[in-house]
Amino acid sequence: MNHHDKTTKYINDLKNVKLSDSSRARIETNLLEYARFHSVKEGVRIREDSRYIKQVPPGTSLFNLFKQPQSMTAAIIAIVLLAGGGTSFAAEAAVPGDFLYPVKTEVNENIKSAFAISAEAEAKLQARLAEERLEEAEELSARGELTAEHATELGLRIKAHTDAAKEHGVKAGTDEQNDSVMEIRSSLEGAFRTHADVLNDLNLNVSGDNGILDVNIGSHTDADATVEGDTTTETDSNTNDENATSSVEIDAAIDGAVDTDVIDADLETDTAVDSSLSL
Amino acid sequence: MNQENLEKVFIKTFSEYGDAIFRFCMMKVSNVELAEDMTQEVFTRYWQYLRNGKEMSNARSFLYTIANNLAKDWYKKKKTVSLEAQMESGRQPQGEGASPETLASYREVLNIVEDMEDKDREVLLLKHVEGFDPKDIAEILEETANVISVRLNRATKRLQQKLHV
Repeated sequence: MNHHDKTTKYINDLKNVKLSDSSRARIETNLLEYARFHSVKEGVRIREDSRYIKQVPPGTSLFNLFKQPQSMTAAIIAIVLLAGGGTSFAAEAAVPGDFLYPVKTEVNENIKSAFAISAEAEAKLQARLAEERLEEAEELSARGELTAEHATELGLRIKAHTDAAKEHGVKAGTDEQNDSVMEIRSSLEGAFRTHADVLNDLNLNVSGDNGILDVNIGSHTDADATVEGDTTTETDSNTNDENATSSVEIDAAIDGAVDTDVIDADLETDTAVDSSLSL
Repeated sequence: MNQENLEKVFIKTFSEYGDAIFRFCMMKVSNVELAEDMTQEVFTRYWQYLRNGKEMSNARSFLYTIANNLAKDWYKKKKTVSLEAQMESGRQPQGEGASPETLASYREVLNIVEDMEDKDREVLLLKHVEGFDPKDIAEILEETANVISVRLNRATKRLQQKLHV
């Protein structure tokens, strides 16, 4: 045996270094488990560094969040967190179609509802919210922006609030708080009377002659009286409308200008982002 | 390739090269448990490449390259507890479930190489045990083939002197 062979033989003893059977079995099980947990998926890239496991898809920005309905809630929360209570407060004046309207209905009103502990308080709140929807409808109508879509949405919301108010009113009634039931009923009826015109518009939009809200109003006899009583105010509101029309036109002009600017800006940012990503 | 087929390839590769990678890791870290963990990590990373559909011309070299990089990271993070220090403190390289015979063979084999320099150890292992040629070794260790040839020659001479052959 020459020197080289002897050395090689010596080194070859290193081949005895092997995984023990139990270690081999354990590692194999672990590896299979790992492979199944991190299974083959199309379009999923996992880098060695786990920090990059989930990459943000190209073109994602805060603005894109608003394009997807499922992201709306997240976006709303983001707005509230970023802008603080001010946004919540500002949202109170929002009407359907406004940027902050979802904040008003989904965040603010749910918070209010959470604080209305008793059935009576909840019933009053629901009655108040129904009236608020009517006010929003009037506001939109005055602006000339009461589209069929908004009318339907508001109509359905009013029905939901009215039903909820009645339901909680009944619950409060079982607690022998009859005064409060009457109070809620009268406040609902009062609201419907005050906003009779717009209510009529909503009914036409929502379900033709058989307005959904007719079903929910308790006293029809009062409603007739209301129409008579409201004739004077109607003329007032007509005159106001004439003034309002001009301002609405100006508003629309401004809105249009702003809107197109915003769209342009969006497009620019999108293309800028895309081009930078493709580089 | 679907998940099932890919798993088969994965496990087959482990059966084929698991021991070799473990040996290489042992040469690097001189600790059974650590070498086992490293071996598992090497194959875990190999799976990440497989599942992403990355092409691999030579899985074997690739596994060694990962192992070498892991060992480099390990050296950076932690100063190695030398095999000698382990022996002096009465600790033997531990293997989970390893029989006394296995542990004895580890010690015997590791005694051979414990005095060798790390760089000598790995080239001799890759050349004489795993049968790589200097070009492949150069690729794995990220050196030039020339450097590896020189290192191999010197390592062999040093070992011969040690063995008095």
